Amino acid sequence: MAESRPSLRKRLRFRAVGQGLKVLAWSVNRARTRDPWLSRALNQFGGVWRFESGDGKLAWHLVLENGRLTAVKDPGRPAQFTFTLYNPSDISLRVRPEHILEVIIANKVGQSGDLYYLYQFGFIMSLFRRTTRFGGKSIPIEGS
Amino acid sequence: MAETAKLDSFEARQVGEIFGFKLEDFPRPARMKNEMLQARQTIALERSKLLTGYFEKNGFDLERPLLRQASSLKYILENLTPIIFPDELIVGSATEHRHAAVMFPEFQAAVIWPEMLTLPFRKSHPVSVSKEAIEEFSFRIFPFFKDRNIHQWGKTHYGYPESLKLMEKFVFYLIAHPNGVSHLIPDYRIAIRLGFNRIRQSAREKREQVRGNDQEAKRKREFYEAIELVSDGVMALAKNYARKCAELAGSEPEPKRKEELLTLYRILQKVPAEPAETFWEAMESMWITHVAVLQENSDLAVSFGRMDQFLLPYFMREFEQGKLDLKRALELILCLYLKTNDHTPLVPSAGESLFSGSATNQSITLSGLTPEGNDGTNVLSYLFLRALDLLKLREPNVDCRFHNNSPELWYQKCLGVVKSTGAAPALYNDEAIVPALEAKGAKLPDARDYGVIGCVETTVQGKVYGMTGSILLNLATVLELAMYNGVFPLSGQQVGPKTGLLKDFSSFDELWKAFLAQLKFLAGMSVDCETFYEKAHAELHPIPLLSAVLDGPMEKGRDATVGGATYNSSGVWVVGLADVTDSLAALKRLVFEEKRVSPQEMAEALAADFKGFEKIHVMCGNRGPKYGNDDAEADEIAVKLVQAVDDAYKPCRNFRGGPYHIGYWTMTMHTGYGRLISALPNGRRKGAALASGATPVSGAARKGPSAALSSTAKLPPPCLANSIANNHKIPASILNEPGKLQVLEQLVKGFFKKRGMQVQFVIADKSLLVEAMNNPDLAKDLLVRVSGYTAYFGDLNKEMQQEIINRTEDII
Repeated sequence: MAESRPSLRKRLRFRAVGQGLKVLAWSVNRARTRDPWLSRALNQFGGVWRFESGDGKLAWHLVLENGRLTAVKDPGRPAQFTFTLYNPSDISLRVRPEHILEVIIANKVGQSGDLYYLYQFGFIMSLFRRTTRFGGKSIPIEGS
Repeated sequence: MAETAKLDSFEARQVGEIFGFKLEDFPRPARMKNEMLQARQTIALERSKLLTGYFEKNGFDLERPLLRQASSLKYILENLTPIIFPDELIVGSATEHRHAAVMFPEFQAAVIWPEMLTLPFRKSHPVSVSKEAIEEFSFRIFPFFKDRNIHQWGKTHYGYPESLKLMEKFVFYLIAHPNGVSHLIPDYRIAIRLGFNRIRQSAREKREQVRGNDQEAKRKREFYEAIELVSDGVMALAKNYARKCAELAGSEPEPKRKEELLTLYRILQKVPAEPAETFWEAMESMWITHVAVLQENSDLAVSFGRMDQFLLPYFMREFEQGKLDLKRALELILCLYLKTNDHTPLVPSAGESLFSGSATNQSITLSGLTPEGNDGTNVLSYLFLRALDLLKLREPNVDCRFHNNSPELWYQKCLGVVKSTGAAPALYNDEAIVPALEAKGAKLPDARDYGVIGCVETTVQGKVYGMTGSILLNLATVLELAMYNGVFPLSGQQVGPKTGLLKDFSSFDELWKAFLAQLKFLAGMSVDCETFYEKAHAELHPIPLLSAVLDGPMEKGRDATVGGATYNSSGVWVVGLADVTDSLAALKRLVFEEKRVSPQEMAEALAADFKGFEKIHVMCGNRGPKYGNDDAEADEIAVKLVQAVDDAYKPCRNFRGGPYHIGYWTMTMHTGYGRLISALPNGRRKGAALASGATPVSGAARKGPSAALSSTAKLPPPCLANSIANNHKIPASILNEPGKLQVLEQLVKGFFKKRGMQVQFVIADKSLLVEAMNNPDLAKDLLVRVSGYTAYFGDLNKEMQQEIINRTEDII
C-alpha cells in the first residue's frame, strides 16, 4: 500500500518552517561578525538538527559544518537531534533559547537524539539573540 | 525510678539551658548567616576545570574505569583551592565561592548551557556566572564531555531504548541518575572512627589478599587500589586546608581568631586521616569528608544520618570532663549548619516549575529508637534541634523521629520549633517506618537505625546505596492512559497499551483492569530506563570514595554502583495519589454504581475540561467520596492504589539486585506535572496543581485535621517504604492561642498511635502568605514546607506559592 502524501495545507505550513530556518541560518551567519563567541561557536561546533512534521514525512535540516549554518530540505539526512513539530506554530523564532526545554517538557514538541546537540543549539541561539535587538538582558558581547 | 527522675531532671535542666540561648548569644553565626543569605548563587568552575584538565592530560581510560575515576578525583582533591571564610569554625568549601552550584559535566550540567548568557538576569533565582566560566564550559568542558556524559554514554553503548524515549517526554516518569549519584546517607562514622589512613591501609591489605588473575580478582584489586587513591586525595584536601589555616593564622592580628585558626590547623593535620577524638574533630572530619564526597557525587540529598547518635560519644567525653560546654557545642553546630548552605543545585528555567526553591536537602535525623530498641533522644538531639530554631535556614533539612516511648519533652520541643520556624522539623513515626523497612528486607536493628534522606525518604543509615529519588512516577498519567486507551491526551500520542476508552467501559472493574495494565507498563518502562542508567553509572562513573564510606563495598570488594553496599534498594516517588484516588472514587460511585453520569458523558466532560458540563463538574467535586475525610470508600481506594503501585514494582529488581521502595512525596512536581495533566474525574480542571505528597486534595478534606490524618494513617506502611510527605497547614494565629500547641501535640500523637508515618507543617496565616506573594522582602526569608523539603517562600514559583496558600487550613 502506497504511503499517503501529506495534505497541501500541511506541506505549505511546513514550507513556512523551512523558510523560517533559512532566514535563521542566514541571520546567524551574518551576526557572527558582531560577536566573537558566536563566530567561535560556528567555527568550533558542528551538528545537524532535524525539524520534522508530526508524522515524520516532512523534514528540514539545519546543518552546521565548516563554520556555516544552512537550512536544507533532505528528509533522508541523519541528524544528531530531531525536533518533531506536532504543530509547527508551537515553535518559532519567538521561542527564547532558555525556553526550549520548557516547550519540550510541555510535550508540544517531540524530541529525540543526543541532548548535547540540543543544548549546543540552544547556546548558539542565545549567542545569536544577544546580537539582535530582541536579545533581552544578556551577558554583553566582549568589548561592547 | 528515682534514678530516672534524677536523670530526667538533669536532662530537663540542660534542655532548659539549650533553649534559653538566643541567636544574639552567638554573634559569629549570626554574622555568617547574614553573609550567607546575602551571597548570590554563582556557577562554580574549579572542579569541572580540574576534571577536564586531568582527562585532557592523562587520557580517558576506558579499560579501567575505577582507577580512572579515582585518579581524577584524587587530582581534584589535591588541587582544589582551600577556601576559608572569615570566622568559620568548620572549614572546607564545596566550591570556590561562598554560595555556588557544583557543576558535573559528566552528568547533566550542560542542560544549563542555553541559559548561561541570561542566568544573571532571569527573574527567578538569578545566578552569577563569570565570562571565564561561560567560555570554559562552552568551548572546552561541555565539548569534552559530549560523548562522556552519562546520558549519551548510555545511548552510545546500549542503544536508544523505548523506555528512554518515553522518559525524554518528561511527563510519565523521570529517572534521577542522569543528574548523578545522590539521595543516600554515607556512613561518615567510618571516616570519623577509623580515619582515612586506616581505610587506606585496610584497602591495601585486602588488595594484597586477593588471589588469582581472573576478571573478578582483577576487578577487586582495581577497586581496592581505587580506594587507596581516593583516601590519599581526601587526606591531601585536609592537609591543604590545614596549611591554609596556618597561613591565615600567620597574618591574623586578632589573638582569639589566631588561636582558633591554629587549633583548626592542628585538627586538620589530624583528621580525617586519623580517628577523631573531640567533638570539634569529629564534626570537622565529617564535614571535610562530605566536601570530598561532593566532588565525586552531585549533591542531591547526600544526607548525614543520625548525627545526634554517632557524635554523642565525642560530645559526652569532653562535656563530662568539663572541656566542652553546651554553648560552645551549639556554636559549632550552628557553624556546621551554615556550611551546609554553601552549595545549591542549579536549576534551568524550565526546571523552576518542577523543582522551584529546593536546596540540596542534606538531611539530619534526630532521636528515635536505637538499634537495640531503646530511646535515643539525648542532649545532642536538643542541641541540633535548637540550632535549627535559631538559624531558621532551609538547609540542612532537619527531621525528628518519634516512637511509643519518646519523651514528652521531645514532643514539646519539636512542636515548639515547628511553630517557631513555621516549617521544620518534619516528624517521623518509628512505629510505621521500622516495619516498612523490615518488610523490604532490612534486619530489625538496621531498620531501627534509619535516617531520613533529602525530602522525607527513610533508609538504614550508612548501609544502603539507595538512590531514594531514583524513579519519579506520575500516577495521574496512569489514570489518563487508562481512560484514553493508552493515548496521552496532551500530545495525542499512543504511549501505553490499548486498554479501551472510558466511554466504552461498563464497570469499575474494567476501568481498574485498564489502570493496572497501564501501571504495569509504566512501572516496567521506568525500571528498564533506570537499569539503562545504572549500567552506565557503573561503567562511566564508579564511586570509590562513596564506596569507602558505605557499609559493604569494602568487605565485598565491589563498588557501590555494582551492588557493593549491604542494601541495594531504589526509591520510587509517586505524584498524584490523592487526585487519582478521588478520581477513581468518583468514577466508581457516580459513573458505575449510581449511574448519575454515563461513561460517555464523563469522557466528554473531561475532554471539554468541564466547560459546558458544569453540573457534572459540581457533582464530581461534591458527590464523589474524597480521601482525607476518614471515608471508608475513598480510603479503601487509596489503600488499593498504594498496594497496586507496590505490587507493580514488587517483581522488579534493579541493576544491583535490590528491591524498589515506593513513596509518596512530590517536591514541587505536583504543580509542575499538574500543568501537563488534563481534567480529572475528581473535578480538577486541566493544568491545576495535583495534591502534594500523600496529602488529601486541597479543599477536599472537609472534616478537619483529625479525619484527614486518619485517612492517611490507613495507608499500609509496607507499601510506603520510601516514606510519604504528609503536608498540613495551620494558621499561626490559631497556634498562638493558649493551649493550641498541646492540641497539636495530641493530634500528632493520635496520628502516630494509628501508625501514621510522617507529618509536616506549614504554620502561617493565609493573609501573610498572600502578602508575601507580592512582597519579595517578606517572602525571601519566610520558611515553608513544600512537599518534602523546606524552602523560602520567595524562592517558589507562583504556582507553588498558590498551592501552599490554597492548602486546606487545619483549624485545631
